[in-house]
Amino acid sequence: MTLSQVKAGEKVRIVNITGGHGLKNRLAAIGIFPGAEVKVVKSPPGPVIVEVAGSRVAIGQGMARKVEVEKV
Amino acid sequence: MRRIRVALAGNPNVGKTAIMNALAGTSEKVGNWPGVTVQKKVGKYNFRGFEIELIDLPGIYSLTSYTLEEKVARNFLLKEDYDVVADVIDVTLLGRNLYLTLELLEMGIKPVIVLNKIDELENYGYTIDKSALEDVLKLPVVEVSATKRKGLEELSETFLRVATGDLKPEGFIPTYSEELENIISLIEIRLKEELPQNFPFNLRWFAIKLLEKDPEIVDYLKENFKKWEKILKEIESIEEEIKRRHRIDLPSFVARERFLLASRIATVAIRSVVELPIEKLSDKVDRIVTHPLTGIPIFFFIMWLVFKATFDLSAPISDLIDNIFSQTLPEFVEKALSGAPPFIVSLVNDGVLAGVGAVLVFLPVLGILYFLMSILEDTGYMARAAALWDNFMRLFGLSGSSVIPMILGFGCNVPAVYATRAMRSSKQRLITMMIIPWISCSARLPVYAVFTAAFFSKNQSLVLLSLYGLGIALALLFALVLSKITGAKEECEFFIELPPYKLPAWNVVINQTWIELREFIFKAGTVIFAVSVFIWALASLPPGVSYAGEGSVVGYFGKILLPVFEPLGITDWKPVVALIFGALAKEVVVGTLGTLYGTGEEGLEKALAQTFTPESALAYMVFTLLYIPCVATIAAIKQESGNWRYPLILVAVELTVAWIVAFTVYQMALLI
Repeated sequence: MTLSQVKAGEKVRIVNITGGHGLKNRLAAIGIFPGAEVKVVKSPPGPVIVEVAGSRVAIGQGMARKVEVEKV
Repeated sequence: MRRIRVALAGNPNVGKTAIMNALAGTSEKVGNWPGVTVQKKVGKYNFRGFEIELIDLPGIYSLTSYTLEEKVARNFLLKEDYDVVADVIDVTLLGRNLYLTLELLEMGIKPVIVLNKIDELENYGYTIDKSALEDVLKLPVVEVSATKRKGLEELSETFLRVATGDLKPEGFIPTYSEELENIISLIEIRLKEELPQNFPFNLRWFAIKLLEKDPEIVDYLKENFKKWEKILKEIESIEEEIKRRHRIDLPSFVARERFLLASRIATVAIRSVVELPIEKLSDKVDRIVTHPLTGIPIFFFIMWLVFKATFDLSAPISDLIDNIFSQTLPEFVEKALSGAPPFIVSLVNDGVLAGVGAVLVFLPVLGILYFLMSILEDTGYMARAAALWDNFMRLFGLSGSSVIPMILGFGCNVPAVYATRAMRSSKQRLITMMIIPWISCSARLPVYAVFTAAFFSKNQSLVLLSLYGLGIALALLFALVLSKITGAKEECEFFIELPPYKLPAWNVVINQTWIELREFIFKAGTVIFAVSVFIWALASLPPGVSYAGEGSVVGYFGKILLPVFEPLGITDWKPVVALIFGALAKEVVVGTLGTLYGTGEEGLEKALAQTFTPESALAYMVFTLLYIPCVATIAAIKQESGNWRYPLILVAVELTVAWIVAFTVYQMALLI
């Protein structure tokens, strides 16, 4: 399952992120890395919004498809 | 007086600008970091006999070398001269902000921790234990509210004490899990085996950055270590082991350890006193404003309001300024200088006063726009709008935050260029500035109006729509080309942080508006003025010729350039001269044509009907749409990009494209 398929209100754990080191590093700096738990505030259409480490972060659908997650 | 240099580092949205504003007032100077298009802000103030200079580093989440902003901040911290680093932290997001703090500490920097937004903490149901944080980090911690102006005295005093050596922070050395620590030590040992002389970095930091595969650090390794291949191979095998054990690659593993340590430190300092509901009202609002079905209408409604307010409110003031500089003052000058040669009167009136007027006429629209843009940004809406459009704009290599500047471009390209300031990525920002001039601003409308009335009275709206469409299509196409060339696609914002909704801090908004208007007058204004006077000289020299007439320099240019325009169906030198004047502002094309044909603007249609055919009229409109940005837009792009190169490239590209497209349109129209 990818982050773009999670329903709003659900909590998920990040399993894997596909992408370059630049992408992974910047996501990790705000708390999005394999093993981290995030809450999905909004699901598509439109951007995915997640709550992570106390802040709200919008992630485009294309990017959200690169984040593999599992339900907590 | 001794000068103390303080560098402000921190995440985006932590309130660094507000701190700069609260401490240094309107002394702020805006420029660019050398060689790049990243904005640099510097402010200064006096405190107890010291001059404190504040240097605002770009807002960043981490100190790698993946984006231009991170590189600028990191190179400053590594190479420049400074006395104090202030790490500005949004205390409501302490854990995440401490990630950057740990990176600073790894570099060997011992920053002053500035806990900003301390007044907002109770809204989040937290209290903070400042001394616990000081104990863990072994750094001075100051609680501040920039917008409420609290804690500022203590902050300046701490800067002073650190700079003078009165306070020597010990600085915590971030220590990670045993597993990672062993890896770091191993790499440190390998590096030590052949450490170059004058190795400029903190060794531990260098080792950690190697593990993170930081591109600049890997390059340094390759250039300065003979056994670089062996070291990189060793790191590869470490990574295999980490992947096997943790199912995560090495750079992410390091970043995760750092993030978890930052979170642990935060929990030491933060006490939750009230349990807050998990679902916030703002989440409901976010779902509405970023959902395409509801978000897009809301976006266009807000943009319509901004548009109306900017251009309607500024119009009467701009008209008044225009009247003063084109009528009231010139009449006065004519009386005062009666008896002086007409050439001198013309110099003062059509050269100097018109030039000053051309600068001042922008102030109302820019002032209102800056004001409204800061409100959109401070309230948090700007980030939502960017999130809403991100996916769509990505198709063209742009990001969601390019949308607002582009839409403003339909009103006037000049404020649109300045509106790109809200964009985070410098590369994206540069591309957006470069495509704005293709968007048909309202100053081009009078040109279309006259020509469509003369030649296309039946299909007026169709022609107008096609022109606007052509502008948008070329803008997006150009964006695609630019993002390919600059590699900006890889630098797209991967995520957009949505800051909490809040009311703007009015004193900050007003101060910033003032600073930006001042910068416009001194930087762009001087260019606009100089070009105005220059074009006046072209039209008035040699002395005695009729203004812009056949015998003037500009008339001469018009005739020389005419052959270039003949393939577009233009057979008279007068429309060519009008295009030269259009460089001042595109609506001037109409006024110049009126003067040159001796008809004024009323009888112009008839005169045009004799010189143009419908086909050449179409080509002329297309050319006006696309050829060079007006001088104010050029000046704005120069000011914002910090380099003449970019506006000059743009002028060359636009002239070429304008000619090719106008030629194609003319030839195709002839065939139909």
